[in-house]
Amino acid sequence: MSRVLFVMLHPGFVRYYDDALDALAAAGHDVHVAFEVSRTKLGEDVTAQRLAARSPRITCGPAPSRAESVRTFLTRSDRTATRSGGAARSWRDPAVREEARESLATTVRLLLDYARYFEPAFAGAHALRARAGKRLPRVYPPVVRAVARLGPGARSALRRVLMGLEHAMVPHASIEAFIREQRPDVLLVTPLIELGSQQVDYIKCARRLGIRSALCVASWDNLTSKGLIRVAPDHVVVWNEAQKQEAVTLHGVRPDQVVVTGAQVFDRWFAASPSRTREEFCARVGLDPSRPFVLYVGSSMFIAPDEVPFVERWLSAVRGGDDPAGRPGVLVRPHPANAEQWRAFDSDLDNVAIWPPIGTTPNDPDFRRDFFDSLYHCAAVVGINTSAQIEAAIVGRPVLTIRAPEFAHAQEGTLHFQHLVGADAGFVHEARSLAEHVEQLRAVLSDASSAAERNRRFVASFIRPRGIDLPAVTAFVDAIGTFAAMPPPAPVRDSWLSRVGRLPLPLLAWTTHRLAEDRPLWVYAVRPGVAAAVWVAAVPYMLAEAWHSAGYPRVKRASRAAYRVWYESTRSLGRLTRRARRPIVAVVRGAARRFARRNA
Amino acid sequence: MGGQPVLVARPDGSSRGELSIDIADVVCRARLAAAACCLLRPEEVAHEPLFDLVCSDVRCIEPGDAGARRLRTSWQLAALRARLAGWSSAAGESFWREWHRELRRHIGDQRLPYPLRVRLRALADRALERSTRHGRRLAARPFPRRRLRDCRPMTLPPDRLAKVERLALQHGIPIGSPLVALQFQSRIGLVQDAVEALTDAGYTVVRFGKAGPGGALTRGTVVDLTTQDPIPEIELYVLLTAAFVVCDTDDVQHTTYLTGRPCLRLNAIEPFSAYPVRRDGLFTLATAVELASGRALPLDELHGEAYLKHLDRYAHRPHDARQVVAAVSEMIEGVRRGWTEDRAQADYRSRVIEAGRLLHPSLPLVRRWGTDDGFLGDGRLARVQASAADVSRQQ
Repeated sequence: MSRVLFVMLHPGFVRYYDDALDALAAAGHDVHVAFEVSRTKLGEDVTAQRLAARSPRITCGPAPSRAESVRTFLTRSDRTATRSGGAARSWRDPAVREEARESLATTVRLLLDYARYFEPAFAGAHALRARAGKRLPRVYPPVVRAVARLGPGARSALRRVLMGLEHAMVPHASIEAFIREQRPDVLLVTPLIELGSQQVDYIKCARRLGIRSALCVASWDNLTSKGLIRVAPDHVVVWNEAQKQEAVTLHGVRPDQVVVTGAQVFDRWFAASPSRTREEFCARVGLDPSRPFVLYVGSSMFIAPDEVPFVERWLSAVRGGDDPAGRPGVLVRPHPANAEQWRAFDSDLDNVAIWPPIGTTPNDPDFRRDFFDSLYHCAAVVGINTSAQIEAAIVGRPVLTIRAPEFAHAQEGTLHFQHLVGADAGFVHEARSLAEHVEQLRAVLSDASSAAERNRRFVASFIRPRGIDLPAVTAFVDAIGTFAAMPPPAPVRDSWLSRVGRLPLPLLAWTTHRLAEDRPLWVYAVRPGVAAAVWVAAVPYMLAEAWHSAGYPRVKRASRAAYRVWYESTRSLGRLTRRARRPIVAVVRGAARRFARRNA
Repeated sequence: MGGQPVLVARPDGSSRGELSIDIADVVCRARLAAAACCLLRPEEVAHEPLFDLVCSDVRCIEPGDAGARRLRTSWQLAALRARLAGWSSAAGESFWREWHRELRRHIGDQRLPYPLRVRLRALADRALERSTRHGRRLAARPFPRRRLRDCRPMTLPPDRLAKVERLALQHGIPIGSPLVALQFQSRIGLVQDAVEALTDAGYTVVRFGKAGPGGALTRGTVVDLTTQDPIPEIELYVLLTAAFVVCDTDDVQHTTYLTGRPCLRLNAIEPFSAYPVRRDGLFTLATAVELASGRALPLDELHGEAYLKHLDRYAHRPHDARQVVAAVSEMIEGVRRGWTEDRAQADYRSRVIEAGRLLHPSLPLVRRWGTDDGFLGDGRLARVQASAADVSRQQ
């Protein structure tokens, strides 16, 4: 069978594809999963270890390391750091040039991602736009905003220039060597659309080497809340027609490149069964089994940074009715990546619980089982804007949400929220106020059947568009198998235009590398002068050092030699004098004696 | 004006608390200088009834058109001077900080002679110190604790007071009977027992401000103003006439410095900004929980550097109903029998003062809210918490 190279940003993405990877291995494909960065925040390192142990056909390893990762780029631009910047390094150093090349690539990608949020489709996405702008050094956003204000023509020109630069940049040789070494029949990449993602280099290398490539869209919000597909792979694997539409209209992918397979990540929910009875489950989490309970599913940090006060208000509204018997229990399930804020949650209401305990990660053994049991045994699910609401629809529970001003950025301000509440296919009961929500909740608790049809319609169109009985994993594996069996595309050769386009890249790289420090512009203006002054100041120190290391010892040696010569010569002279004195004295004395005798 | 100097000021209208502190501060300064005061109203709070308050011994001037123009111009000139000084400090801070970073780039360059790098390091350190010095000039004005302690209560002019009184009566507030003003944004269930205790002690509780979770108070004699749109005049009337105020926000606590009513501040997240200036003030601290570990911090860690430097690493849990009842009882006792302080409360104050002295140079929060020339406040931490802190220290 074929060989598949699957490049993931970090091991956290394994959870979107673990069943699909198993199925690929079972179908006889050899799969190597390469991780661009390691991550341990939610136990992702464990996921990678587990994955490699699942099948001999699946192997895992790191992708080639980068001279400058996106994270390093962002760290360099911390203006508040007093120690960042490091020692001045020479441009002749190849490592510096490579870093600068990565800086240019990351800057161009972040600019493209930021610029996309000025398109009319994202007019209300203020928070997403701000998030994308925050990643850039501060000199760029005002420029992009000014261009965007000039109108669609200027926006399009900016996008073309940036895309031209993206296409002109050649990926590092190590990535090409890595792909050659792996010899894949098909290269899969996920998520590719993170802000400033460097994974686009893999797509570019695959095109140069004539290897078929595909982007696997990991989740339902990926195409609307993050960055752009800057270089289109040969195929884009999406969940459903809505995502296909997004890929075509928002990312410029050709419709024939898009393959709809369904949401492979949710297949497990169709076949799952509860691991405990309702009584056992309620006893475990601390709820009253005799009363129905509502499951509140927490959202991520970006969606709900301050969720606890809202839930306290929601709880008081839901539990504030006059009839105690009509008050449902509440199980709060914090988002695993946004759970810490719940440590301060302390409800004095009875029949309210938080489960699983804070600190539980998605890789803990019982995580999925507990989640399914929570969904299965609850009477309704409430949340702001989270994937768990989709999972609830699959399990067949009524799903509700409340529009709240503090979450406007995550509801009206995101496109993917429309999938939940949209008039045609949306399945979530949406309320404009807590009072309306309480009414809706009361209605669904008394008659859940009204939600069933909406859920079924949503699941059929959004989760399993190829047929409610056809597992998305099967469709995914078929699609990958088809890609692998197709003849490889012809390698893309560099055109003369892209070669010409590369000429200014070193200068741009040099500039963007420096601007990535995010210092005020006057610093760059005075920097050469400061460097010159420092080196001028170094001259006396260097002379002194040269004197101490070379001049002074020589002079000392010479003076010692001269002294020695003088000393030795004077001693010799003394000896000679003493030697010569004796005969002279004798002669003089003899002459004196003779003279005395003659005169006597 | 008329031979008397006039102190012109434009209070900070960003919040009601800031506005109250500024008004109180200006009135105190005017009293010390035997001057009249003229408060220019920022547009965003032009209709704030706090501007209508008057003081018995300081003349507050509402200038006529011509006078207003002159005063406004003189204030604008002074404000421009202050703004220029601010810009210069900001530029200085930025320049020296960048200069420090630029020098540090060369310190790591092995090609440069070692003695020069040592010299550059010294220069870089000096640049950072200068940057910090400029930064301190930019910091918000320190909380004028001493002046606020000496501030005399302000009130509404009699005709205005009578008008507001009628309005209050229409909203069910009994005139003449002892009131307790309650503003509480956390779960209302936590103060339910305390409200009952207040009712037993003969008080009518007037709840105002934003309603928190938990619906209405179901026990005790309560006038609940949170169910309707807020009427600032009535809220001010309650703050002027209540026997004491129970609140859980800075804004209300700071307004009581202006109205001169005793105040119990609940669920403060650190002891510096919440420490009551006057003798008739009490406060309690919320439980701080470390987000990373879930550990609840003992009270004495709430004036430690690790906590104050990284407040965002902690969440806060309101204290339980039992503590609220104890603190409210201490308040009732203080109002009726006079304010006393036990050893644990005095020790706690000494510890906070000492922490403030140590942290003043390094923490902007302490520089803003810490001691004023060694004075933190005549108020105290509620006995129930001070004793608990004492016991945990001894263990």
